[in-house]
Amino acid sequence: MLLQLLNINLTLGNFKLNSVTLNVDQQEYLIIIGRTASGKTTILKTIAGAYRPSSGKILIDGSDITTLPPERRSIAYVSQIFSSFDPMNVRGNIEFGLRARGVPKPERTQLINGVVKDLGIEHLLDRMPVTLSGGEQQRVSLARALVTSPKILLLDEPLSMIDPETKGSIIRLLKAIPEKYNIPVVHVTHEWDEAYSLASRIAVINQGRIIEVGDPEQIFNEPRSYLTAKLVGFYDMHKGDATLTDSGSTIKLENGLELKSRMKINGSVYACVRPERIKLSTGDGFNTFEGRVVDVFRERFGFRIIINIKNIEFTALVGSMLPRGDVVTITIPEDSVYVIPAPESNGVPING
Amino acid sequence: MLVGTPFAYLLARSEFRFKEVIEAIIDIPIMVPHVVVGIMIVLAFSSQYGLGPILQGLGINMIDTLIGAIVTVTYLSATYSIRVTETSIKTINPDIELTARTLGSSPAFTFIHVIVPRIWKSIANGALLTWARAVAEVGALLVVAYYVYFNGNDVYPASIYIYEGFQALGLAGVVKYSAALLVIVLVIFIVYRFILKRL
Repeated sequence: MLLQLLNINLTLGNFKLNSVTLNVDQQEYLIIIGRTASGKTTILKTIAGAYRPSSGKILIDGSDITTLPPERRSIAYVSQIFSSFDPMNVRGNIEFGLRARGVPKPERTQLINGVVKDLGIEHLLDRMPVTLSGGEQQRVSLARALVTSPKILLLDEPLSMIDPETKGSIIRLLKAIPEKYNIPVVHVTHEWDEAYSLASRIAVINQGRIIEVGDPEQIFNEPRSYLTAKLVGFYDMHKGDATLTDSGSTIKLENGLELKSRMKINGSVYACVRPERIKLSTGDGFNTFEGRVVDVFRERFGFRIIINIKNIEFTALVGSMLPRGDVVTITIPEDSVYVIPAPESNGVPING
Repeated sequence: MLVGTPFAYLLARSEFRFKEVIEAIIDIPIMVPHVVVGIMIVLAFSSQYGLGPILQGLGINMIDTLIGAIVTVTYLSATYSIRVTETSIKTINPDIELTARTLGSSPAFTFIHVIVPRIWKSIANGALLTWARAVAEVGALLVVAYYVYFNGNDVYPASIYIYEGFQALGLAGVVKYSAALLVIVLVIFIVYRFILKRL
């Protein structure tokens, strides 16, 4: 285990990190996902050394670094904004950490040449940072961090200031870092598709507490909590009462609608459905309902329509535009109804 | 600049107990007449009161001396330098410093190579205002260092000299000195700002 956070507690004004425990392995890409002000950046800055926890320990390779200043941690932090060191040009920015560490000039030049080649920014070395695009700035930030050979790379929402066109190439670049540089990356974001693309493991944070850690498939397909499900794109989460059946369970929603699920569960639950799993249909089998289109939004891959079924709204992604007011029939496959016990209930999944 | 800049950084970036008290002490020169500040300095440093006897034991006399005049106008004018620089530092996102520190830069290296290049114009402006405020000082100097014995001569601060001249000779007697001081200060301000703008 390269990085260990053990029971970290920290108070900043009204905000608290509560008993945060996380482990990060060598070459792992850990993404901490959470809503705005959930504490994800605070965790990152605590690892970087900006804040000192009131209790708990931070270990790197088993050594306690909790009280070390940032410059002695061998952890590089890339902030959300492009932190250019004015009035240095790109070369000066990348060279900064090496100069601060007293690396001789010939070695600095060699290291810079290596990293700029890796990141494809040789042509930017004499430019001033202010003239760079968002994607170029992010590459320079990464070069500046990686040239110092950190043990861990921390990324604070590195894609938030980048245009969608450039995002793809930066995602590719980021994904290659753990293996290429033999370091783990800890990356925080509130974008679930970004997390799904990049992470080898995901930690979900809410109100300063890590509520769930798992691999991307588990987090996105089988979230254990209502909050995680909301965060990772389950648009429809309807409360109901589940009763066991031979093939799974039936969830009776508050409007009387009955949804069948393959999951075996009893008690008060949330029935969660991803919009891409809902299909327009003409049939009349299980989980097939008629409803009225109440809103339509254009999306990159089609249209997101909101369908009202007996005063409960479902969201579906469809390929063609449907006018508001249209009556449609939808089918929700049984294996696409994911069920989470409601927090106040004693409902417990029996299997699956 | 040497005292005010680190102090401004401390105020801009740190939270500590009694920070409000320190900030209020810095703001005293803009709260009360400077004569009152002069009286406080005399009470604190004259040979009979406060730290005076200790300083005298070390051979330091604060009253009617160059060092007394410098300490007085430094305290009275530093408010401007500190506040201008502090405001400028507060505009710099602390993430920039954290980024630099995690790259291996010590606090001093970060301050010199990351912060100062961003705030040096504010430091320079604060220094100009501080100097101008020091030149204009009358009230506290009347109490602390009415004249200064320096290099075998009794030297009067320009402001005191003009005030004294006005008291003794009336308006006509001090017009030329007032005009000269105004022109000198104005020229220095214009040239200084002209140079700053082009750097």
